[in-house]
Amino acid sequence: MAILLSETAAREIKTIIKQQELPEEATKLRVGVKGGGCSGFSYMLDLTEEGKGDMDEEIESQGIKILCDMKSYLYLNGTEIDFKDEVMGRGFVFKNPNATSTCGCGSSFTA
Amino acid sequence: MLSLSRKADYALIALGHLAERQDRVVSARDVAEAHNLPLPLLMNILKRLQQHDIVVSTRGIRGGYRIGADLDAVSLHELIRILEDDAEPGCDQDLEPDGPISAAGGSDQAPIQALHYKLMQFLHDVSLADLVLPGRRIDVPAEMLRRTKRKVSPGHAAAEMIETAVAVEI
Repeated sequence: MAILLSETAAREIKTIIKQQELPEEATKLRVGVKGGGCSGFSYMLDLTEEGKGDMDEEIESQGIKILCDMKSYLYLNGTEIDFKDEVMGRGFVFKNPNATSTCGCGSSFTA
Repeated sequence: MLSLSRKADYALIALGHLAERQDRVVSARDVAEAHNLPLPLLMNILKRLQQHDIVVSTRGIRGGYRIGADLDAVSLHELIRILEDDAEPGCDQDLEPDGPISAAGGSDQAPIQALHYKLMQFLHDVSLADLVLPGRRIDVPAEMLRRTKRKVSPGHAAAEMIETAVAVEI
């Protein structure tokens, strides 16, 4: 498993990289989660020119290099990131198989 | 600036919280603590949603709320009406797609009426499912994807990102 981008998500990310005039080859997508426990998690997406850190997983999907710190990767492994452009807005949607509700403390995720 | 009311914001946060935990009931206190919401107002909101069958409640020590409606069938417009005591969002009268456009804020100016019609149509078109269901709702708006503001050392990339990136609650 890994973190996967849908074709539409990858296309949108490439468009944003161009719009922001970032170096196409060097720019990576950093994916992460923040928070935990009963307060739930937040997903984060960020563009970076940083190299892979010691605590990072590096994945490539649809021609986009993805960085994810190992802690976040525990919760994101297997996630597909899609892009929606619909009536309620434009943005990225995380389809995360790890997001379950069975944890006794009420956490969004169990892994 | 146009914005949702605090009640609508809190209702959507609460529904999102319940939607992530559809297999069990969740207390109002849990929702309030998880999202730092004022408990009395949240309880009023959940009670209102329960009266309209959007959520169902269970009494008792382990009681709480869970989603009670098909969220695909409930529009944002309907949610706002429920929370605002059946008042039309931003308007005094009903707005039907094929009917006459009622005056928006008392204005009889066509451009303002046209804008108002568009806004009402938007509220009708957006379902609660699109706003709160994991895997359907937008987790990171496209406008929020941008380059990290500060240079970070590789070992601390994740921590730095937490400080700089805009996070969207799920």
